[in-house]
Amino acid sequence: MNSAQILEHHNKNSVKAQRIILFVFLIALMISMSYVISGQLFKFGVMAFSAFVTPEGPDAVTEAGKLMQSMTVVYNGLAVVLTIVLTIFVVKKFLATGHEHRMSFIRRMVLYLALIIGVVVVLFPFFWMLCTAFKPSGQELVISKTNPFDIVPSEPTLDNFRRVLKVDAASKSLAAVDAVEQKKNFGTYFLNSLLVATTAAFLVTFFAAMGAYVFSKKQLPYKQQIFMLLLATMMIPGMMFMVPQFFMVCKMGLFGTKWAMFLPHLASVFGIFMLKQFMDTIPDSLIEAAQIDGASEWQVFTVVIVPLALPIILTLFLLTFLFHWSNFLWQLIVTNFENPLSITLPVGLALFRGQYTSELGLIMSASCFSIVPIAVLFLFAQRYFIEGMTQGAVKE
Amino acid sequence: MAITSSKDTAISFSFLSPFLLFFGVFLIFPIFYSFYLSFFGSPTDYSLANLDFVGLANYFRIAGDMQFWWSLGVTALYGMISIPLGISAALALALLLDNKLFGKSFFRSAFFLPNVLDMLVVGVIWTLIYAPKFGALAQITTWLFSEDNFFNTTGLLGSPMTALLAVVIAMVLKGAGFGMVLFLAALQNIPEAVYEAADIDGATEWQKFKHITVPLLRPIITFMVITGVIGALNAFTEIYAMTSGGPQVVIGGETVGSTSVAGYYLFKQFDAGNYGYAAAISYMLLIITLGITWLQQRFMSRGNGPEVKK
Amino acid sequence: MSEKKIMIVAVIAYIALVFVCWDDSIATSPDGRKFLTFWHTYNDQEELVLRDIIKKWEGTNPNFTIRPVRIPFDGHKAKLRTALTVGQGPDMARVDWSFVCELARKNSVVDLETLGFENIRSQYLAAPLETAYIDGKYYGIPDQSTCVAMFYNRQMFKDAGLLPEDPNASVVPQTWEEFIEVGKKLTDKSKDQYAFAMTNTLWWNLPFFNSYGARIISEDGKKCVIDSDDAVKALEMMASLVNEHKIEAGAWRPGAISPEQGFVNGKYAMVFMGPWNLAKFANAKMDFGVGLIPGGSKGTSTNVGGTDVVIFKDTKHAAECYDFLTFFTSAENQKDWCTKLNQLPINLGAYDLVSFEDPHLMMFMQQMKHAGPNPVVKDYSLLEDLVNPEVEAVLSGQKTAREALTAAQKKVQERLIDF
Repeated sequence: MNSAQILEHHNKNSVKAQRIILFVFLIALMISMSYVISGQLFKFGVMAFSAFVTPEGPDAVTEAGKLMQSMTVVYNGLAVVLTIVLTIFVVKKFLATGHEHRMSFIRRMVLYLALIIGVVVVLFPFFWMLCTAFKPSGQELVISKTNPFDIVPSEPTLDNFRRVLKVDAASKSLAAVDAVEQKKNFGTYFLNSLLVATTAAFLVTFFAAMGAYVFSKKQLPYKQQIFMLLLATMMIPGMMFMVPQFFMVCKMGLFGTKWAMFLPHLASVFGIFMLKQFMDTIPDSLIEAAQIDGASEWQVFTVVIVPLALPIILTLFLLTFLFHWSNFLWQLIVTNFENPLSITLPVGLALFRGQYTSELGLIMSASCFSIVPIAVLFLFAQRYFIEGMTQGAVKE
Repeated sequence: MAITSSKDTAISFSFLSPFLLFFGVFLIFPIFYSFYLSFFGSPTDYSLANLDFVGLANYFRIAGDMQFWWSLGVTALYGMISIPLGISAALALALLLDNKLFGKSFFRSAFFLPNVLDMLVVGVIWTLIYAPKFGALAQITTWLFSEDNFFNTTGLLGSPMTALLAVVIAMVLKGAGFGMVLFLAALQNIPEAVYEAADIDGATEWQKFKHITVPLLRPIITFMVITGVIGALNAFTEIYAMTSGGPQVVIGGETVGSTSVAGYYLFKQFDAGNYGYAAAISYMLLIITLGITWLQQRFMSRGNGPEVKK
Repeated sequence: MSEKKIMIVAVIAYIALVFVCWDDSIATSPDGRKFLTFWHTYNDQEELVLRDIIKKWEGTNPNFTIRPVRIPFDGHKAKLRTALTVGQGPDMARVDWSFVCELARKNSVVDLETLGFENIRSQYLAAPLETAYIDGKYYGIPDQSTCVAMFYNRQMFKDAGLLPEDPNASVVPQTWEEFIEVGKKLTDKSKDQYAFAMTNTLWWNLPFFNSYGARIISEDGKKCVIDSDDAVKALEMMASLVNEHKIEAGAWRPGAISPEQGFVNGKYAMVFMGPWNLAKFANAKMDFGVGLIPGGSKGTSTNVGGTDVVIFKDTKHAAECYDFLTFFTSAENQKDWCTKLNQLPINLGAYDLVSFEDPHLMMFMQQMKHAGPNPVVKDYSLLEDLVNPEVEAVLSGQKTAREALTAAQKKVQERLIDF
């Protein structure tokens, strides 16, 4: 062996060693992350379970805590097992990978770890919300002394959920007063909001899609100028319109009705803008091809444009739904509080919040309920606009 | 020719009519009414019937309102940090998740999900993360360094130098998923053939990105820039939830809030019942923004791509 | 295409939902009595007691019925403002104390002197009553009142050897000088443990100003006097807790953890807090006590929180509304109200009738007697917005107390009082 060969061999070895060290470091990071994350998730599962099975009573909190304590082994064990399985899987895969591909394997691992850290950061608020909803009153702000990152309550309770659904003592006796009081509950508010938000989202997306089609693909005198004018109106903060819009709604006799909750917000310039910008990326040749095949304007719109823009249309639907689902200030001022059928969810939730007792647990459990339809909608829509994006699109 | 174009116009109008109907009924009057209000003083009672005409006094007052001009500066800074950061984060996520990747749908959903969360909840949680002494960040830095580190004593939101940046980071992480979805959808409309042709010409990945991907995503980028500007101008909830305009800095004897953006200042005026002054501020903002947007549009549509017509 | 089916089913379900549930009217049976609408912001427990009192009142007033309507406390100002704009306000309402001045200046609530309020005025506690005293007239009756007192962590006091042998002796320091002395013993930076934590908003700072006898707004409401020597002294003392003696935890900084959270977690030994937290802290299994706020040159003092009830000018039955509201706040009903709900009475007559088992609440009753005047201005939140930044500039060491308060006085005078 000459010196050049030795040097090469040495280099190869040191590169190999570098890869191994890198891998070991990443594996260590992975193990700790896996243990912490899965540990918290399993603990959450055990916590929710013990809160659920403990019957209501004065000592429910301590009992649920004891039950949880007795199951420490379960969640810790599960986390350990999961971590070990994962580690064996990854190490096996690494060893099975040829030396020349190991660098790309490590790169992929870094990518996955980075993505998972990102996911943990962005989803942490949801987890925190869920955990706080299970905490008994007064303990929402207590931080665990042994591990400050452990936010799963050690003494869980379902009281907050019960109070939101109005099955606790004080609200039961209040509901017995009369028919109006009886209607004042979460279910009514939820249904009202569902009706308002769904109707608004349907109409807004429909109107905006048609408008955006015109601005993107059709001819119209002064099209650019009209569009710029519309954009300019978007710059004026919505609160400036609140008082005059309130006047108009009252003049129309709509005060305290569900129509008042969304009619003024049906013309969404934001929606038109978003859809128009997306439609601009759709090649004109597709429309021309459809027109040559003899499609009418309406057919071009429904057969070519809408399916292609479906991911964005669904995104707009979701965002509009969300806007009307949480549009507190406007809905507050047009609500007729004497009539529970005009109280929507954000306003109804504000009724829970007392003056001083901003009970975090109560608010968070209410948020958990109010997020349910959004989650359902999202899970349904994501088939189209997250997964569908790769399959559904027409490629030239 | 003339016949087809007038028929076209009619069709266009019929497509636009539902939108225009609601726009005309519920937005035209409020727009003019708030403009009209900007020439009046604060109402003396709740009926809004007894307003006294003050001419341009509200606009003159803005000219001498230090707090307003400062808040405009903060807003500009907010926009200048948040818009590029937001777009690049969204684009990076979109490009990353456009590849073949195990669990791609999960990651896409996960990054989009924070958009459905209430801004106030997000604000509360990020405040808890940033908080000195108790927050996650302070715990980590105390463990890594010592107790006397910046994150543990003052906290990111407690120092005028970092508070705005901390708000921006929270907002970018919340909103990046939305931009990602827009980019991902638009990426599907780029014909595969264009990339293949570039491959034959021996283009590098960077060249393909710069000369094919970015130009074809331009409409989306324009959208994000413009909505970013609007978002910066209307920024209010995030400030309200996280800093209330503080921390304060004293500049030349005047105490000003280092995260007091224009939208927050405007809200305060509106909330105080100074409808006239608030209206004047929002029209002033409109004029300033229109100038900026006009420049943006000119800048963005220079070197029109094939998809931008007329 | 099963996905298409799901979509169609969803659309049909939605349409069916609209047809079945889109109902905007609710049946209420008229019974010939005249309605008086009362917008309140009470919680479930309070509303139950309120309804009992209403029933009692209706027994003696058979021609009228009172309809209590709950509106959210968050947003009750916006709701009332807009409702009054179109003339759809209620007959009477319960509003935050800081809102009465705006309502009065905007000429929408009834001057109670015209209904004979001067005869029974002396029944009410002075400090809460003063929140409804605007331009020489009374526009509201206090219905609920709170204040803050000093909460202390008994465990931390014990650890520092500061718990007195005699259980009846006062644990918390009597004066600010003593407070600083004790504070130094309770602060241990290496354990992230501090004697005190405060938030920087004017309402929470009022105990400091009031204990030096410093007013924010002059009695006639025409002048801002926050730059007085007493106020400067109070602010200098506050700032010294942070900068000179370093016994304050920095909870006033934006983004810091609230005093409440630090207290629950045993990091802060003393905090100002209201009686609404008593149950919460007990739930958190804390060993805590309540004492009077330390005294400045004018002795111990505190702020006033709570709500007032007002009668709107649009009502046709002002006399009946007034009759109900005075009945509602009478000593007899206050006694029921306070005993059932563990709240502080606002009627002096009820003070002798109410006795709580909870010693902490008794301490609050004592503290309440020393409550100082609150600043009454037409826009209280603007006052906070103008003063808080200046105080923060002092706490962060960027301005001296005198500079800051002079600037604050000028701003308040220009932007709030003369505007």
